[in-house]
Amino acid sequence: MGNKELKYGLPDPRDDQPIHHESTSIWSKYIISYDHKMIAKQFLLFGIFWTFIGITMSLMIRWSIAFPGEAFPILGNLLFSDSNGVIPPDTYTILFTMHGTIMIFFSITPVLIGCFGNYLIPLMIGARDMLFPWLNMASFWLTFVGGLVMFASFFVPMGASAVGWTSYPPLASSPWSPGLGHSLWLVSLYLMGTASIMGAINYVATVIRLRAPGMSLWDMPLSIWGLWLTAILNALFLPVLASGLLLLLLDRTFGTQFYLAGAIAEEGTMGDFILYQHLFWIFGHLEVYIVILPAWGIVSDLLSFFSRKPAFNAKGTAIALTAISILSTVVYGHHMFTTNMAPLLTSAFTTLTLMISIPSGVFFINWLGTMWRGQIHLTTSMWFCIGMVFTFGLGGLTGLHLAAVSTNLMLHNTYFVVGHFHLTMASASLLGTIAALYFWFPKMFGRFMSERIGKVHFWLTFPPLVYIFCAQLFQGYAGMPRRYYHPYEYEFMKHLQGLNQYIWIAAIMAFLGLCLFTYNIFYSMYFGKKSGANPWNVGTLEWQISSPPPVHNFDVIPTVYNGPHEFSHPKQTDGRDWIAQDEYIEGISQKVD
Amino acid sequence: MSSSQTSKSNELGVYIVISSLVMLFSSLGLALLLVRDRFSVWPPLGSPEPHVLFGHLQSIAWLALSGLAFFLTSKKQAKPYFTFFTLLILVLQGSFFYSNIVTHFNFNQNIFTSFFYSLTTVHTLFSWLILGTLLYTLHNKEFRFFKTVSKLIHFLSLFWLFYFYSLTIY
Repeated sequence: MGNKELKYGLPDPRDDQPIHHESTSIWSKYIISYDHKMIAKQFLLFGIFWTFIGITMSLMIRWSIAFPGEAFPILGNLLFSDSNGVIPPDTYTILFTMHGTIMIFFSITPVLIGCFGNYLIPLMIGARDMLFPWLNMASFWLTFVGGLVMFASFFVPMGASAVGWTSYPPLASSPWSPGLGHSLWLVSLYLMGTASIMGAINYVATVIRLRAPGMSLWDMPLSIWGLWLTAILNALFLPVLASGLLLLLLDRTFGTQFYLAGAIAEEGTMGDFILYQHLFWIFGHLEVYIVILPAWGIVSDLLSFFSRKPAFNAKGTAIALTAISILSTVVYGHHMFTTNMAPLLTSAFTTLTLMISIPSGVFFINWLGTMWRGQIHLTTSMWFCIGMVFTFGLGGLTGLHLAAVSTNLMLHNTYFVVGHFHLTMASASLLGTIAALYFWFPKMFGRFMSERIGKVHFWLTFPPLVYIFCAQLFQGYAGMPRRYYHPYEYEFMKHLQGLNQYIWIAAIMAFLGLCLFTYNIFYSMYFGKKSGANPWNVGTLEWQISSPPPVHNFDVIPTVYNGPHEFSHPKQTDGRDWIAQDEYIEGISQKVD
Repeated sequence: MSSSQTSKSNELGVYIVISSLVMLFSSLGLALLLVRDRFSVWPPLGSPEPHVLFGHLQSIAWLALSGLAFFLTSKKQAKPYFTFFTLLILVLQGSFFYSNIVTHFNFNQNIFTSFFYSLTTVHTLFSWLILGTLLYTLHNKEFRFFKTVSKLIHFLSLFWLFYFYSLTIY
């Protein structure tokens, strides 16, 4: 075939994508693999490892707040023998710093974006691999090195970083945070950021260049919309964080004075630590959307698949996701209302932030509209999707309080903020990720995850998460600040200890759920029930090939005739309630030139 | 993929890299503007006077190198002019740093020198990376990719010229 050009100037992917041959050596098949599916699995394992570390840290934090001065059960005497098993204050600061960092950059990002981005993008758009397979492989290994550097930072003198995941100077500057720990933290995030940009370049370019013939942007599954928009945001805004971290690293290692001010800097030549907050939050606020956009997209698809109905207003959802991506780049200022911001600016940021609720409301209603009067199949994956919709609703509504300057000033740095962002970027992303894994696991490994264990997992995860983070909203409303080691030394917080003890119990339940989930993953990889090619009866392209897919994905690059959510079409007469995207049915499908 | 399709894909990849780098330099520029806004006199009183001539000449050499690439049609044409400009840039870079180092202009003297030295160093490291990439693409006979990378330099050189000027303007 020649290199004919289709409309929009896109190349015909049927002509140009090489067929990979399966590697025969363990080294090239499992380690330095260029195959996007293997790289996705590498990201999954990497993410699971770090999730356990991050969640264990959160248990230690919860224990410390619930039972101050008491030895941490089981691991306490092993890890904190000098303090008879009690978590010391300096370790506590390390714990909350590293918990935030690990969960955002080493857990959610690798699993949701690294794993599902890699796995789904080529398969769902009908491509044989990513556009730049080498870059893809390098992206994972750079992430791995970033993880090693972060891991090493625990073992340097004076310990790992202890300045909060936001790494604000002057606390993060060397006079107040001496030692190598925080510098390694910065280097690690640099490596992770570079790896994420490499991945983002691949995702963006692959979606543009390698979509199957006939697949317009509107024919893409909403999962791909979410992942694609996330990649665009990553490619554009991670460099902003990089610039802020670079200046901080230079301050710490070469003695520059970007963020030094006050007595430490010479009069008239001082830097500005608020500068860091600008650079950090331009990216930092976006990070919320970066980790949740893929989850929104995935849940939008899965709700349709398990309601056996076309996604309600799918185009509207795609537009709403895009609108949020754009709006999210100009709202960061609400994190800085307490930095003596000009009143006009606070009003602007309040208005812009509140505007995000409009597109959010659009796809929230679309989700409900998709389920409305559908034939809902309550699989484990669907349970987690519904859980995600619920927690995101709670998180979104509490976000309004933090968007408005008047309430933000009262709630700033309290547990209300902690509860809010854990409901949105933690719980909602986590539940969306879990839903995705239950759904695509049969495609990845050719076997089902246990539905029975999955349901137990859901009830051990969803109610505790809602309880923990809603309780934190109340604590914040009662004035409890975040990051305090022993809050009950203050009279006005003493009555909150009981609530924190209940939170600890809920956290243990959620941890047991995580253990069960991990067991389910590894058990099902080898002993799960075999799934067949398309066990969920879904029309997207990845389900039209064998499970797991061959190395080259598609023997022949498919042509797309239908949207991704074609269910219960009234003109369909063959007894099925779904239509594959690459299936041509006269009178239903669109013709492709 | 066919070579023309590969080339188009590479070009797209380079444009995304450009977008990322523009954001990196823009945010560094934003940092500079936010800091400068706090000073009525810039550089702050007592700051050393940097030698900027070689820096400006270097930026112009970069612009010329990348600009000429638009008119080249073959690797054979590219080689001599690439060699000439690479040497010129390296000489100008060396002169720039030497002339400033001999005035004992250092990183941590104050906020102005912090910006001046850090950002010019970042730019230098970046330009070496680009020179290496250009050399690699020429060596591997990927002339179309050479031209694509040249576009990247051209854009960033324009950006840097403006940035360097605003960094050092009084």
